[in-house]
Amino acid sequence: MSGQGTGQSTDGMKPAPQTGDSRRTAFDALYQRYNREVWAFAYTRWMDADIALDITQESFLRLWRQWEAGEEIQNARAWLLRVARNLAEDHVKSAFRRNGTMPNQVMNGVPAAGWSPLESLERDETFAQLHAVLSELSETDRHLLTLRYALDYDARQIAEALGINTTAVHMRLSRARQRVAERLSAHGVKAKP
Amino acid sequence: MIMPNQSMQESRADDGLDRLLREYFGTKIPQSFPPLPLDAVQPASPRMQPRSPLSRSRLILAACVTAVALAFGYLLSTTPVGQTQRPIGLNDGSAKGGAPPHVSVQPRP
Repeated sequence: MSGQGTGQSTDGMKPAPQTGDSRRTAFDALYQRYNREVWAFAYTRWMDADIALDITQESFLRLWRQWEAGEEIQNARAWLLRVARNLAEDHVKSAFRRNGTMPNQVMNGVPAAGWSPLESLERDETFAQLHAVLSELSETDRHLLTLRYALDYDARQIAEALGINTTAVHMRLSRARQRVAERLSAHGVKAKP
Repeated sequence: MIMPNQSMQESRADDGLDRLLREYFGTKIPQSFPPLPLDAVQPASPRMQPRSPLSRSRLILAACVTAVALAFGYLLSTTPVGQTQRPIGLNDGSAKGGAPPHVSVQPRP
């Protein structure tokens, strides 16, 4: 995934630019670069795409407020992930859960076209069981799987995102997949080859 | 490369699981993230001091104390001043002991 990896000098993110236009441009670039990663982080916590999107947007809006107030944030990515974590933890008692920041129709699923009603039903059922299985996993496993399959990160990118080495990524990913396969099998779901 | 049957089956199952996970997460992640309403955002005030973590509990405590004081005042106001109730003795009430009341019967003329 080009342009969204974490291997670039994300930690050296410069403080907020001083002028309005350049600040907006820099913020847009930051948003494009990290929105998926922040979303994945929030999704790992709540397993809810809408909530994850709310948390993602709220995190970026808070960053923007900080920039507008002239605050310097040296490591924007780490700051965003930390804010997203706090928001996810506070989600239950947070007001923005009720208000949200964006309508839900922005969520785009896989288009239903091309699926017969029966296939669509089977697929929904399988996804529901997969969702249940993923919910039973540890957050670490879910985060790995989300980075791998939602963001299409390779082992190197996952390693950089999680601060571990690629060997550990391969090992943990393999175990996580094995757990998913076993639990799916226990639920009577078999992944079609 | 020739793979044993079991390995091939496992590999196919892995592929199936990969595809399933990919499809599942593909339905979850937004294909595009909507632009943020930055113009409507008020900048955070740098001068604003963060609230003390105890401020909320202090507010709750103050509310509780006020409620207790109000309740006490209400109870005092509903009791008439100077009116005291006579203490209830053993001889009060209908279930007193002792002899039954005397009934005098007047002879008819």
